[in-house]
Amino acid sequence: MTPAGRIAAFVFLTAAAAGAALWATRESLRHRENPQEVGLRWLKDEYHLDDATFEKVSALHRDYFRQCDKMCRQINEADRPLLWRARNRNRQPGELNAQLARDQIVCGDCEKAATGHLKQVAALMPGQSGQRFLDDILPIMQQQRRVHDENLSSHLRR
Amino acid sequence: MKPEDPDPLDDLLAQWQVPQAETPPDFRREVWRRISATEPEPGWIEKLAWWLLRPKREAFIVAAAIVLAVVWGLTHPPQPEFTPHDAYVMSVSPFDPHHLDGRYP
Repeated sequence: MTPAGRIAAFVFLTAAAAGAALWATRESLRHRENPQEVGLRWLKDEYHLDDATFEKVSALHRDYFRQCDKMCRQINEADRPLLWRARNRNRQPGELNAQLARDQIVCGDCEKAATGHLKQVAALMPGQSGQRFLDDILPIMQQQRRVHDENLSSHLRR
Repeated sequence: MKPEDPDPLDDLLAQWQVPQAETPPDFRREVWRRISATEPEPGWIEKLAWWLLRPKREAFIVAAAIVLAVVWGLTHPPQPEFTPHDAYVMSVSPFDPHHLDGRYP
């Protein structure tokens, strides 16, 4: 190997070792926190909740997450056959519409449950914080619902 | 000529002596100078390779690079994958694209 080739090989191996060390260090520092825990901490800080209020809010969220888990499973089960429609072209249109209607009902129930939960949380917040909280979160969720429905219908139109 | 016949040059060769000559003081240096004059001057890459690629120096450089990388990693921790606000929305909104991540395969 020429001197230039040996230097290049050495530089490459050194850079690879340093890159691997950097990656390993950063990965070891990366927080693997649950979004639910991170979100609750944000809620406490953002809306200046005292410990007693935060405990009530946390209890509400625990109940909601349990309910949400069940309902998300239902949404997932309702969405999946619709998203797999492309693989089952021989389905009857009536069957598809029935599934779409079921999906809309499940999504409506989920949205209602989420909205109700958010309003309960807002009611526990002091002063104008509750309204600020609803003004922040509800429009985002409604927008996400619209995007979800659009994605589903555009998938079905393919 | 038969092999047992004496060669007339044998006596002459036996009498021949190498004269003891004094070598000049810079003889050895001059020899090396002439040898090096016939070799091309090494380029900067050859000089760098000669200086750099020695086992102890290589090991030191690799170790220093790894230490620097670890220090850089410790002082520049990775950014979270999502903001706390997004994490809250993700956890409560059933329509968030990441709401179901890793929950139902």
